[in-house]
Amino acid sequence: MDRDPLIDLLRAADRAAGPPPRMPNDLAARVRRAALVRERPRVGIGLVAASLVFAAGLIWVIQTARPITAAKQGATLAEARVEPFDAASLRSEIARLRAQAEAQLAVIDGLQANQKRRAQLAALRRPLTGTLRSYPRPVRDELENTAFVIVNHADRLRDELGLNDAAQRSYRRAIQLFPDSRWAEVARQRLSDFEPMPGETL
Amino acid sequence: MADSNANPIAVRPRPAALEDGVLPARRECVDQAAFARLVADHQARVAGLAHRLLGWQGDVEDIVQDVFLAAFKHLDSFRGEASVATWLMRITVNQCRTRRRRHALRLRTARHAHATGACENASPDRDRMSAESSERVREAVRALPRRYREVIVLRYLQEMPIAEVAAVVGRSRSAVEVRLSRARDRLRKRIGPLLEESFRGS
Repeated sequence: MDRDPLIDLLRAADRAAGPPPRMPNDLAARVRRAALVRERPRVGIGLVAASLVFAAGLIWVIQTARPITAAKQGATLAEARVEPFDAASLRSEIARLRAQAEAQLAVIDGLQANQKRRAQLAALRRPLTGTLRSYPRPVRDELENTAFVIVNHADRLRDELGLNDAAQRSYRRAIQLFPDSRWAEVARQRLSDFEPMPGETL
Repeated sequence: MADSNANPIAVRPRPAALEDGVLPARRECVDQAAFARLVADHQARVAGLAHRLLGWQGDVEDIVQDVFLAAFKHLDSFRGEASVATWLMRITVNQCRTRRRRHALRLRTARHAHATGACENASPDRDRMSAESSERVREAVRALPRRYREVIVLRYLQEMPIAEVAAVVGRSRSAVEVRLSRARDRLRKRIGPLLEESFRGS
């Protein structure tokens, strides 16, 4: 084994901490009991889930049956309202419907404008995801620096603050914004530390 | 220590010995006495590793129980690529990772509270190394990033060969050696004065 004072110091500190607590003599029996206990709720949860799905389906069937009878009632009432003829109320009804249609058209216009803005934004973002090599050297350096700042920030979140979720988001952001940069590769390696190796069974 | 690669479990109704490192395909076939033997053979090593990976503090008994529970439940997925001992070490490392991820904040605040508690069960090695110095060394190991702490514990405290460490953490040998080197550098920076003190003392 290695003869390094550091290793000797580690081993001495480990011995000084003392042994781990004693395990109970019936550990194997406890494990088997725990395995049986944990399997029972799965069956219960399955039954509850199936009951909920059945109940939701039943409610949905009942609800969809109702509008048919309500529509029939509405049709009967509408037939009764036509008689006698009232021009004023018809005009006010038309005005109300027109206002409703204009409001809905305004919503549709808003949605279309939103969609157009998103498409423009996507078009503007496309040059940023192009290959880094296509940019002039000063621009490439700036982009690499920015990628480094993001990855460094993620490292600090992980190492100093223990905020692994936030760190992973930052690593992914670096990869998304600067996929061809050197620091994106570093970010991918850092992310792989959070994930189990492929083929790992546990 | 008992040979960790020996046939740990007999299968009903075939009581013949299995190949080294091969577990039965289904856990229903696991004989009670055989599982108890597996637990008895490996629990000390599992507890020692969990104790160290949790920073010589924390609920080791829970982790050990979870390790053997996971082993019991995942017997189907053990493919025999590694020995049973290595497989159990890998489960222990994963369980400790999960535990630390869930309790990251609690560990930070509890570290100082348990700092003196860790010394209460100390062995007679205390007279070779003061309690404070050994706690500083352990604190330095706890402060290492997870990927460095694991390889340091597995290689130098569990005294596993590098190939086995690589199998447990799921990385290549060269990656493990790089991590060990970086971990040693970080520890030297952090506990440099203690190293000089121990060098002078020896």
